[in-house]
Formats: sequence, structure tokens, C-alpha cells
Amino acid sequence: MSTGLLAEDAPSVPTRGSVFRMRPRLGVSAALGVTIVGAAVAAALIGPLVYRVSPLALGASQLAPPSLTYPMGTDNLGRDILARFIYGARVSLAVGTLSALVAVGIGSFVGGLAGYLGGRADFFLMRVTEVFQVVPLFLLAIIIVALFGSGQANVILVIGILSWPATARIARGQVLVLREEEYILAAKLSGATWARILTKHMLPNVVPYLVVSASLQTGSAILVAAFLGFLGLGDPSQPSWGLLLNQGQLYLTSAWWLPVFPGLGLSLTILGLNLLGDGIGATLSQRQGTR
Amino acid sequence: MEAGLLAFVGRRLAGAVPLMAVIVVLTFLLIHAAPGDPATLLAGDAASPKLIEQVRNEYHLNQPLVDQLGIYLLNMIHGNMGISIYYDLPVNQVILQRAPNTLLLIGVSLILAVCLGAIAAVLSVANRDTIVDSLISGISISGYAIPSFWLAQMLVIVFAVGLHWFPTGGMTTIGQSLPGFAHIEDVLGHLILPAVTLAVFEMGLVARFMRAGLLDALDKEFVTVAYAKGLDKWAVIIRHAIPNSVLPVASVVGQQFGVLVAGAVVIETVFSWPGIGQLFYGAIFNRDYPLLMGCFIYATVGVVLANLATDAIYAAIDPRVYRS
Repeated sequence: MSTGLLAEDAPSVPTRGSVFRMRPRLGVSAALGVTIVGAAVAAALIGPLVYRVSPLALGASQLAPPSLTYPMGTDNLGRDILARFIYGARVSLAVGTLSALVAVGIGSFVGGLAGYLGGRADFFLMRVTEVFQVVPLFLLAIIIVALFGSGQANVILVIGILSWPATARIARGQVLVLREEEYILAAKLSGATWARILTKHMLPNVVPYLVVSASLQTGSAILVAAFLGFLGLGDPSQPSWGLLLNQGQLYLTSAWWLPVFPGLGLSLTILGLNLLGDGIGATLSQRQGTR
Repeated sequence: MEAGLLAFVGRRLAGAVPLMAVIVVLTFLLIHAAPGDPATLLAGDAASPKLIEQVRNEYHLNQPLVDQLGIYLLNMIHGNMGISIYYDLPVNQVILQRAPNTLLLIGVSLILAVCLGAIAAVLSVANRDTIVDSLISGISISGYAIPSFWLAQMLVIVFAVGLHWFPTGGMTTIGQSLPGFAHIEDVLGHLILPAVTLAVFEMGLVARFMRAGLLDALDKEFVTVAYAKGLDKWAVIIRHAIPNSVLPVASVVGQQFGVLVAGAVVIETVFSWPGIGQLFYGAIFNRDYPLLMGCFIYATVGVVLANLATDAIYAAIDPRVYRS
């Protein structure tokens, strides 16, 4: 048995910066994902600076179809849909990202702990994970938001707390593999505390997998948030894409432009995040394959 | 059924019971901890304090939460899930009345998804690395990025409002009691748009997993042997690749049952399809706690049973699962 600490297999373990370094090798679909997500983020960040129309201002022409003045038309109160679309991108991306952060945070903590501690703690934590995995997430999210209030913070917390199990499983799997690595054993023997081993030695190696998870979780969080908004359970003062679809539902027969654009935005953003996550994931598993 | 398989299913079932118990208790506590008093909602806007008190008594709402939970669990063991506050009927009766409609919707869309997804996967693999392959991959990846409620709206705009091919919602044409076959035709007409909407997500998933499974099988040595024997591409795909790609697809479909149930809730709302989803949605806004609990428990049990059935079928086909 060689001293794996110094040995040749060191480069094969992905390190902190590796996600960025391997970008040139990501495939076409991942590149498409980056482009779409980039466009959505740009619309959310720069959009309001370029298109200076208030999403809440009432206008004179109601339910006007798309034209040069109103690129995406207006709604029943004469509000500009493009302005609301841009604002919706902001709300949806913010809610999605923050929920995903909560989910990935809880998931990597629970999964990492379970994988590292093993034994009874692992058994217990995995049973808890299982409970969360079996519960129909969408239904429970509806119940909680409907009964406890649909403020933005509530929505973020609920989605985060309900969707961490996927990340927990990934983190646990990675930690279980890493636990057997010799440099971890070496760290243990040299007296490092478990907290230090987890954060200093294991976390950097799990991060690429968490990035994949975060990308997919953001997509699904945006979907759940939109789903709640669509059912009328969003924050009414914040026009998210889901809320715009909820309003559009009333005008399916008369004003198609109300639901079309927010839905396109949603679909493309989620598609982009999925492509991105899959792309990084594929690269990671290729690397593991060549190990 | 083989003894080993039976034991495997029994073990899984025994594992599912405590899981369900935990979920029921947690959901009960969660729902009852919510702000908002069902008694005041129930008694109406202009109710006297006396009437509210009476309602509270009737539904045990004035007892400590732990006692309420005890009563609920005890009743549930006897198969009694309480009385719906809004419908004033047993929860079981209200739900079971609607269940066939939801099962019809889910069942038809599942069949659609599996058939179309499998066809797409086979076409994709048969034309590997051509434009057809990329096109099908693109469609299936988009299929599960598109939110079902938006897809529902788009289908309504195009096929119901624009082309008048299908009705915009409901399960039957209102004001008509059609006889026999005409009734079935009427329901089918109403079913197509919601079923297709629900199927699209699952179809993308089936296509993707089956494609991966087919490609995996085509790499195996028995396929090389089959080609060497002089079989053509289609014979190899049909006789060798498809049978070897069915298992993972079956397990993915089973695990996605929860998503289908959730999808059914929103799609029933969009298309006013009279199923459990619509019931669930109404129960929230009416603060009908017993019905809400009931819908949630039925849905969760459905998901657990679907997962279990998937595992059992998987184990029956591939005995290595329970022998190891």
C-alpha cells in the first residue's frame, strides 16, 4: 500500500477550483445552459435599468396586444407585461436561488454528518431523510404556505426545508467514498477534529457535486415557487412569473400574451439550469470514470 | 410468488408503516398549529359566540391538541378519517367518490407517457447521433423543464380556444346526460388535454432513461454476437436492447408517482377536473382540516404504495434485489 497522501492519484480528486477549470470541456448542452441562465440573470439584474417602466404603474390601454410600445402587451389594468416580466425574473430567480441555498445547506450538513459519523447516527439521519423524501413536496408546500402565510421569506424557507433530501444523499455518498481515502485517515491519525476534517478536507472535494445539486435544486425551486404563485399562494405585491401566470389564467380566451411570456421565461430558465447541472454532472462522472 | 420475494415485500411494508405514522402525526400537528380558527370560518361571518362554541364542541376543536391527535389516530385505525367540515359527509366518502376520476387521469397519462416515451427512445437510438436523435433528446429535456400548469394554459389557448377541438375544462358537457357510449366519448374528449399535459413531463423522463438503458444494452457483448449472427439493427433493438432497458425505466416511473400526484392537483385545478386534487385545493381555502388531512394522507399512502409496488415488480423480475 502506497502513501496515498503524496501519491499519483491526488490530481484525480476534484479540488476547490476544478469546476471552473473544467469549463472548456463542458459539452454543447452545458454551454447552452450557461447561455440561457446568463441571459435570465442579465434580464433580472440589468433589465430594470434598461427598460425603465414600472411593473406596477397602471396604464391607459388595457389588455393591449404586443406592439412596439408594449413589446409583450398590457394586462387588464394596463400594466406593462415586459416590465412585469423583468421584475418577475428578479423575483423568481431570487426565490429559486435562496431556496436552493437553504436546501443545499441543510442537505450537505445532514448528508455529510450521516456519511461521516456512520452507524446509528447515519441510520437515524437517513430515516429522517426518507420521511422528507416520501412526503409529496408540492402538496405539503401548498398546505404550509396556505396556512402560515405566503410572504417571500416563508416561501423560500418552505421550499428549502422540503427539498434538501436529494442533496443529502449526494453528500452522504461522496463522504462515504472519501472516508476511506488515505489522506483522511492520515488527518484523523494526526489528531484533527471531525469538524476540521469535514470542512477542511472533505468539503472541497464534495463542492463540485454540491454545485451540480445546487443547479438542479434552483431549477426545481423556481418551479415549486411558480407553482405556488400560480395557485394564488405567492406574495401579491411581488409579481413573480408564477403570479403572472395566475393572472393570465383569467384571460386564456381573450389575451394570450398574458400567460405566454412568463411561462416561456420559466421554461427556458429551468431548462437552462437543468442543462447546466447535467453538463457539470456528466463531466464529473467522466472524471470519476478515468480514475 | 416465491417465499423470498414475499418476505422482501413484507419487510418493505413493515418499514412503510412507521414512516406513514410519523408523516400523519407531523402533518396533523402542522395543520393544527396554523393560525386561523376553523370554528369561526365554519360558523359563518355573522355567527354568535354561542354558535361558534357549539361548532367547536362538535368538532373537538376545544380540546388540547394532543387529545385531538389521539382521537384522530384512534379513529383512523378504525378506518374513520372524520367528517368533512365543508361537505358535512365522511371524509372517506368524499374522497373515494372523487378517487376514480383522479386515477383515470393519472392512469391514462401514465400509459401515454410510457408508450410515447418508449417510442421516442427507440427512434432516438435507432438514429443515433443524427438530427433525429438530437431533436428527440431536445424535446424530452424540454418536456420536463416546462411547468405543467403553463403547458396546460398553452394547450387550452391553442386546442380549446383557438381550434375548438376540445372543451376548456370539466369532465362532462354540462346540462347533458348522454347515454352509454356517447357519455364515454364525452369524457374522453374532456380527458385528452389534461392527460396529455400530465404525460409530457413523465414522457421526457421515460424517453431519457430508456435511451440511456438502450445505449447501455447495445454496448454489451451479446449485442455484438447478435450482429455477428446477421441480425439487422431493428431485430437487435427489439429482441435484445428493449428487454434489457425496461427495468430502470419501470423504477424511475414508480419513483415519480409523487410528482404525478402533485401534477394532478394543479392540472385538475386548471381544467376543473373533479378529482382529489380539486378537493384538496378547495379544502385549503375552506379551512376544512379533516378533508385536507384526508387528501394528504391518501396521496401520501398512494405514493408509498406506488414505490413499494415498483420495488416488488423490480424484485420479481430481478431476484438479485432481495437475495443479496
